[in-house]
Amino acid sequence: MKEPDPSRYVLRLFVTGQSVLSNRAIVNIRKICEENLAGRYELEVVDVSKHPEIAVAEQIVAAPTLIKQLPEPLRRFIGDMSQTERILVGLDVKKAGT
Amino acid sequence: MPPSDQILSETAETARLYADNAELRTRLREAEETLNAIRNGEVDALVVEGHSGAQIFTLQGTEAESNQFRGDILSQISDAVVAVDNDQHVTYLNYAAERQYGITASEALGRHLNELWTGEWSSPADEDAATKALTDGVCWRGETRHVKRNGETIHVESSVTPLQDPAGSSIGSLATIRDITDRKRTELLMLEQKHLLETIAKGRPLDECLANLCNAVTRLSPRSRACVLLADAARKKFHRSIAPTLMPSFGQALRDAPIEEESMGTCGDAVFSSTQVTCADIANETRWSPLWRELCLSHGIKACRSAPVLNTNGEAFASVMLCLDEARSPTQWEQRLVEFGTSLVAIAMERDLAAQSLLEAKEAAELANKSKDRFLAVLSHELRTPLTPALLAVAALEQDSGLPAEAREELAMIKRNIELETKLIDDLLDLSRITTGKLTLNSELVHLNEIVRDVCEICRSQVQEQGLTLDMSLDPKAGVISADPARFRQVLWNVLKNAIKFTPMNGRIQISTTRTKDDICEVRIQDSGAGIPPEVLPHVFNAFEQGGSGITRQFGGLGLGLAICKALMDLHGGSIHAESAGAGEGATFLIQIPGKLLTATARIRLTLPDAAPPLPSLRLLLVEDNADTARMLSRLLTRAGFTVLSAPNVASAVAIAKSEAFDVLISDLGLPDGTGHEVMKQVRTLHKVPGIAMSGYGMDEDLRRSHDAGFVEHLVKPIQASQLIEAIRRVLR
Amino acid sequence: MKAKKVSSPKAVAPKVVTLPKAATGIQGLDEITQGGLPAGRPTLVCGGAGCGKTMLALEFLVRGATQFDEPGVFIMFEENAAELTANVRSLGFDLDKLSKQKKIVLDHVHIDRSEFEETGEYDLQGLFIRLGHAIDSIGAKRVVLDTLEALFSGLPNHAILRAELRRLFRWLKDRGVTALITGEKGESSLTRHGLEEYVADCVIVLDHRVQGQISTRRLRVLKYRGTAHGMNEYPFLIGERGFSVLPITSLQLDHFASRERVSTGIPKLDEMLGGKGFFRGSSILVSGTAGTGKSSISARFVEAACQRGERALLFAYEESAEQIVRNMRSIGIDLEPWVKKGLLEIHASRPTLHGLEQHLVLMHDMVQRFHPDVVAVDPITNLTLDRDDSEVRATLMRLIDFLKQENITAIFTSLTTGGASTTAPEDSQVGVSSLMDAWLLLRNVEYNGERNRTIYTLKARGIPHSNQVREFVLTDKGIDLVEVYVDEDRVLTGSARISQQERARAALDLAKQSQQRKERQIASKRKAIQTQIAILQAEAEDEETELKFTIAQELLRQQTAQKSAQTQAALRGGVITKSSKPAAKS
Repeated sequence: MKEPDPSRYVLRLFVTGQSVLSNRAIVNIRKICEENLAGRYELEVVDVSKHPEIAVAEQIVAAPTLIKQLPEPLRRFIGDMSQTERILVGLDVKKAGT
Repeated sequence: MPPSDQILSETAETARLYADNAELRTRLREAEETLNAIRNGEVDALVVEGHSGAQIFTLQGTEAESNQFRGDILSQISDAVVAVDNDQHVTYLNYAAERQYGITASEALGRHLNELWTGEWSSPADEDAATKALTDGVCWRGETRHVKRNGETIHVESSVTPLQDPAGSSIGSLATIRDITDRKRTELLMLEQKHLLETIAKGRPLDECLANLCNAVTRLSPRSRACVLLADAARKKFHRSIAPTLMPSFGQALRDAPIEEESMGTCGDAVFSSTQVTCADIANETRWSPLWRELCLSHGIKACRSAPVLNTNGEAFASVMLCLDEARSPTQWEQRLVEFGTSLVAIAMERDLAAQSLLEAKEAAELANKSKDRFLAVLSHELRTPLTPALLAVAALEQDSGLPAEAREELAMIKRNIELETKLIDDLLDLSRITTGKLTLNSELVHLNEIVRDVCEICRSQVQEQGLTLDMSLDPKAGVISADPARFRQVLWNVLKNAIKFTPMNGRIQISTTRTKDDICEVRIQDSGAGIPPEVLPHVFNAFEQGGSGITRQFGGLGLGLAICKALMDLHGGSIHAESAGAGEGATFLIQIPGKLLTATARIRLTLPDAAPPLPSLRLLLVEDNADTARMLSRLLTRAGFTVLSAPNVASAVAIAKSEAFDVLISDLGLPDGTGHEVMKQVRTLHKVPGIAMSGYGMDEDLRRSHDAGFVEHLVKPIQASQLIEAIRRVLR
Repeated sequence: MKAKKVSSPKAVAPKVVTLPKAATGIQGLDEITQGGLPAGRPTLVCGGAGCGKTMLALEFLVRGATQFDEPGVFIMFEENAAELTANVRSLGFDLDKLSKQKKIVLDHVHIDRSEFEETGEYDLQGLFIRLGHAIDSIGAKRVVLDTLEALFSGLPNHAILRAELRRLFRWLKDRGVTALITGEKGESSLTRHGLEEYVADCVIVLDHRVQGQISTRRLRVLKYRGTAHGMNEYPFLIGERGFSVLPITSLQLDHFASRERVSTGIPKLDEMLGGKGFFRGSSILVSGTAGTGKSSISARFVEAACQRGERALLFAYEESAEQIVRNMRSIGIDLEPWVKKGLLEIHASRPTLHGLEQHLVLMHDMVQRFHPDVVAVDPITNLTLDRDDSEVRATLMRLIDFLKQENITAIFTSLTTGGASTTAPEDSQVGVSSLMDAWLLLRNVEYNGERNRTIYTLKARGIPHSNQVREFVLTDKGIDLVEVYVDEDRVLTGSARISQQERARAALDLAKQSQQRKERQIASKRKAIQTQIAILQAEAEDEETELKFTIAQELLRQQTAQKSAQTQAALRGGVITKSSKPAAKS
């Protein structure tokens, strides 16, 4: 099996319907990804209000919740993704030149 | 921190502050009560009065709830709502927007607006106005088009509002977008419908109307093509197909397609069952025969819907088929187009049927009319023919100076009666020609007074016979009228003759002309005769009605005269009226006709005497099978100085034409071995000579035929020698 | 003018709005709450660790799903589904099966502070969605959140959490589910994080105390808006069949009084009881000192019931089931076949294992399950150790009433101690004896170097019974009663308290007593008897017999005065005072 690209990010954002928090989180995380991970990320947005079974399987309690599936280790973030620095640190994003 | 918790802690703090002050213990208690009330969930909102006025805090809703609430409101708006930040990245879209652009919020949020749609502006000015409005921080509202991700274009009416944060700086804009495609499409549909109805109303051929309809359908829905199939009378098969937007082979293949329970395709089904039938996936429609499936698929038809066109009895007599280029159910719009098609086909077919039956009725009526005319013509010909030789003989005798005086009187009596007979026949023929509108006037400018004088002259002898006084009072300014002189003369003569007829001995007839207005000339003929009873007055101009049956018996005649007058005056654009104070009070007839003031030049030309130059010695070929007539004419013409060659039939006429030279052909039309037309045609191949036709038939059709054969003149029998000579003069001019 | 008629206002009876309730199906709890928990509203159950919150909550759901056709959702924050399922399997709750039948949904909400980072505002909509999904998936009417407070340790932002909890409770009400929320007991408040603030409708507190070696579980309905509810603490048990509360409510004396008679299994004893035995549904006390044959009588009674084809339940607090079967076999009572047949169940346990309430709850529970015709408790005294009498009485009364209501004939044995000689044995049992319909006294009599068992019917309500003392013989063939000779001790025991005092004095001053004095004593006793309740009035006819015994005793005492004085001290015992402890237990 092919070794996954260690610089590749697989993120899943779990939101609940069209709430303001959901919207904000999507906008924010997409912006963060585009600015920092352009071309090397996959972002899947899951509306758990449409797929409650996923909420159960992924142990979603707080919303929005972001799960970084790759690279390892798996990490969770909750909130509207407005604290960019925290997310970048949490995602272990190495910015070019730093 | 949610407002409720903030307030809780603030209230607790207040309580602590107040606790130290004994005077404020009351307020402390209040604060505590409030706090408890809040804790117990009994408070919905809290009004906090401070230095800067009262502030209201809502405790009821948590953040999530208010968000939920806001979301609910926006989601219920049926218009699409999209918010973007300053970089045109989507920050919000509601459910309607998700549906409208076929994208989910989670896909769209954070993406550039271009990924939702591409705008198409009706004009660059619109785009500029929108951009300017947004930079100026004002709203913009207008209509534009959006090309969606799936390539579909929709018409939208959008309203864009700039968004600002509380500090007043721009944070993007909010657009409310209403899909008005349906409205636009309906407008187009109405327009197409109008054009089609116009085409139909103009009575254009059915095929053209239906082809237009098919084209309109494709214009209204570019991926749809329509086809109209018409069933035969038995509704057993389709006998016509109109499919201009499909390949011709398709239409041909559909022709004669059967209509039965196990029909091929939806059209047959639709007509058979009188219901709309849809096939959403032709390729997998196993009930169809493979042949039929293949036909559709090879013409790019993947799905179709057919609707029957019903007549008033509810029977389907045609089908409208809408063909789609992909396998799917037709959209609502497409279904609407099918209905649009059926209603228009129904109208077109109805109109076509109506036009057809109208045409048939007209043809039948014309046929009936024609046979009536033919009958009249034959009748008048048959009546006239025997008179011609008699009249010619009388004319010849009159010129015989050796005739005894008493014989001459009898001869005059014979002549009068023959002329009366001829007149009656002419009237009958005239009336039928005038009433069917077949009479054309040969109008020219004539002096009214001259014509009046002519007519009086004609009647003078009769006036004298009856011992009547005829007063003429002619207005010199009566001037010139545009009229067919012969016909106008006929009118005046009829009226005057009438007056003479009904005025007893020693009576008085006054005739006067005036120009009443600049452009109306009037002839007034007043008599002191029998008068007209009031109950008859309205009917005097009706055919075959004289002043009652008694009058008819007393004075004879068919009573056609005044009817002819009325018809002729109508043709001239003039009028004729009768006035009478009653029986025995005399009658007055008023004839009005548009008059003209002549220019000097015209006056001069008109006043020039019509010089009748002597005819040169001409050779005439007279073809006449009736030996009497031939002999009489020949004698009269010879006397007038012509050289007459006679032939009794076509063969001898052609033989003479081949051997002899002559200047004018005069031919009877009914000949034993052919017609005068044949003679004319053959003669014209040999000589360039004019021809004069003589016939008992005087209908327009007869004149036209003679003209076609090459005759210049067509004289209706009985013919007087003078008429013939005048005709010869005319053809040689 | 017509007077305007003023119609009298219709008598509007104040409408008693009974809150809709969701029956829990839990033994006793529905009685305390007059029908169950407030339907469609949340109830808080709080208490310390291990107090049975989860069990109560779970049983509420399971019973709802199985008995009331109300499917339920169990959201657990601490255990996972597998653990919970395993834990309750022993109680006969098959959660796997119920899940498969779509009657129950289990969802374990796991939230670990260390696993995530907060990056701005959030809400708990994820939890709402899971809950909503679970409810919708089975059409749940009941919801349990166990223990919601776990969220406080999981989520650092308590402000958000509190706001969301408020929303959660409102949401639960809106959904119309009957919710049960458990909360951990706090130090100064009902729950550690003040969940009681959010639940205004019903609060139930559970308590688990261990005193000495005895554990006691109690339940109290602290608050129940709109419903009168018992304010007491009620003992409860987590037994084999789940949660069981014994509500100490007084039953009305409206139970059916049977006229049918039940044989004691001992023909001679039946003879003493009007030849037919006891009334069915009556309660019988058999008291006596150790070794007087109480267990044998109750065992025989049970055996006889089984022989009649009736079902019997024997609660044994002194011996194990095996011991009882073995020992009884030695006197010709064979219980084993009945056990095997399922007609008889023997429940043997250490009385110290639980408090009295626990035992009573257990009995109550078993009786309800087994539906016996006959119940034997051997001995009831062991359960009443160390208790305040009034409490024991009340609790026993509840049990006895319950048995009567079920028309179960019950036999209770009671051990009397021989130590306190100043009080008559019957007196010592007044606490419970007044609850009993019949009372048999057993006594050992040592006479001529022989120790004999005697039996005497002290009371038998509604039954004409012999007041004679019989000798009670245990052989390997069984139990038999034989006529006895006059015995001075028997005479004494047949007396009431007043006469006993007289006799006590006489025993100290035997020589001085004259015939006259004896007669005076008898007269005074007769007077005392007349004032006594119905039990002693029935004895009046035997007054004469007693006199004969007195005379005989006088004669005897003259012969063996010295010896008799010593013996009397030993035999006149059987007095149990309130504070007395058993001198010995077997």
